[in-house]
Amino acid sequence: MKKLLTIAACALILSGCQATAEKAAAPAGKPVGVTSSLMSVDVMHNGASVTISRNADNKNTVNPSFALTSRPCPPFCIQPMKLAEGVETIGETEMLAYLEKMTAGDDSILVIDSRTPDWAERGMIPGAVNIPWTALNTAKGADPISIGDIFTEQFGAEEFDGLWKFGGAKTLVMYCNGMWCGQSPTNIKALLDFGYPADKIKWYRGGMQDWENLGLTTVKP
Amino acid sequence: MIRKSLMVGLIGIAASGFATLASAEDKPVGITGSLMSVEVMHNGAAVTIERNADNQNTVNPSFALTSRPCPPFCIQPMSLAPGVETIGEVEMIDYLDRMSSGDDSILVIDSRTPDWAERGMIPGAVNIPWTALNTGKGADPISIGDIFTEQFGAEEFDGLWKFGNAKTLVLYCNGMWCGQSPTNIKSLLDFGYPAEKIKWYRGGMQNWENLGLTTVKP
Repeated sequence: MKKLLTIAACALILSGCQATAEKAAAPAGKPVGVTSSLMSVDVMHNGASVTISRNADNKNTVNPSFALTSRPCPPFCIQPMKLAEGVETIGETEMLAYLEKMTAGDDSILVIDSRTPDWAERGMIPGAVNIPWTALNTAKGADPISIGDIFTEQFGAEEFDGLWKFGGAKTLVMYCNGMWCGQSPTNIKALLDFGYPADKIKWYRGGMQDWENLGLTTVKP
Repeated sequence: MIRKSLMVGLIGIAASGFATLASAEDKPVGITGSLMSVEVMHNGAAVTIERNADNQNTVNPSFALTSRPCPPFCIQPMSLAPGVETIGEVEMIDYLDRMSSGDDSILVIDSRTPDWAERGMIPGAVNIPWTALNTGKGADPISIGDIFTEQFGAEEFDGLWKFGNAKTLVLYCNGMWCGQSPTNIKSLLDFGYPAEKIKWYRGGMQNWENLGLTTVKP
């Protein structure tokens, strides 16, 4: 029965089949679900469908980029659980629910990878768009006009004779490298300062650190 | 066999001890921008909680695995129940700090089975295995009641329970893929333990080890 299942899985995923064949002596792995009732989620990334699941090899270890424990602090300090009043901190299952809603056609949600492009290149969450934190940060050279363009063109906010209306603005789901990363927190604080409603900002604190810890699918930007 | 695994365990401790020695080129590894370390009491002795100082150090191999089977090791939600706050490392360290400063209204609980706690736990925590609070795993109501009165500070009141003076419980297990403390938290709520007196460190040992924070034996 187990063998039959393995063969079936091989037929579906060719690369997975090769990996299994190389470890012929090892017993078949046990299923690695997202939750007990969810094995995978299909999302759209850059116009193509991507399946988000967990790495199926029970012996797999974390991406070496995320195995380090002791990056210097400052700047890589441990972030609090809560950034600001009204800004909800979310985890993986909530992130997947947002990605799923977005893929099902809900255009009131935007998932943002706030990291610099070199980091995003190493793997990001399927369905997210990379808006580097520097693009929203005046101290890092972003000017108010270009930030305003992001507000109107990507976030759905409206300029109103010099004021801003956020009634139709998207819910932004932001992340960066995880609990030791200050990039999305810095952006979130700046967004609040510009009047972006707190209840339209969600923070995935675990970020790529926990996404990679859990062997979840990543893609190129 | 037992001796051998004990030896391996001891070597593990020695190795992680050496790994915290920073070389001259290492940059400081603080907890936050303004906090380098915290001293807490563990089993009557002072322990300094800090982050491994070696900028090249990698995570404890026990926590490098990405793909434990689910079920049972499934991803937990961010929020377990209304009123039960989910906390992170900074908040956990604050509870430990307050407890060590004499605030006895707080109890930090490692909900894992003793074999896991043996591999390293958060200094200041006590190990109350999740099975000891779970009737489905053989714990009986009387022994659970004893934990309520003797460790949690709840009071039995002619067959009812009073939780007015019960401690704030800060529970954790192996992290976002661990259901042990979540299972305990749900039963505690079922037994009437007030939600606002229950805090959950969802990141658990997974994130504690990811960040190179100090661990101790039970």
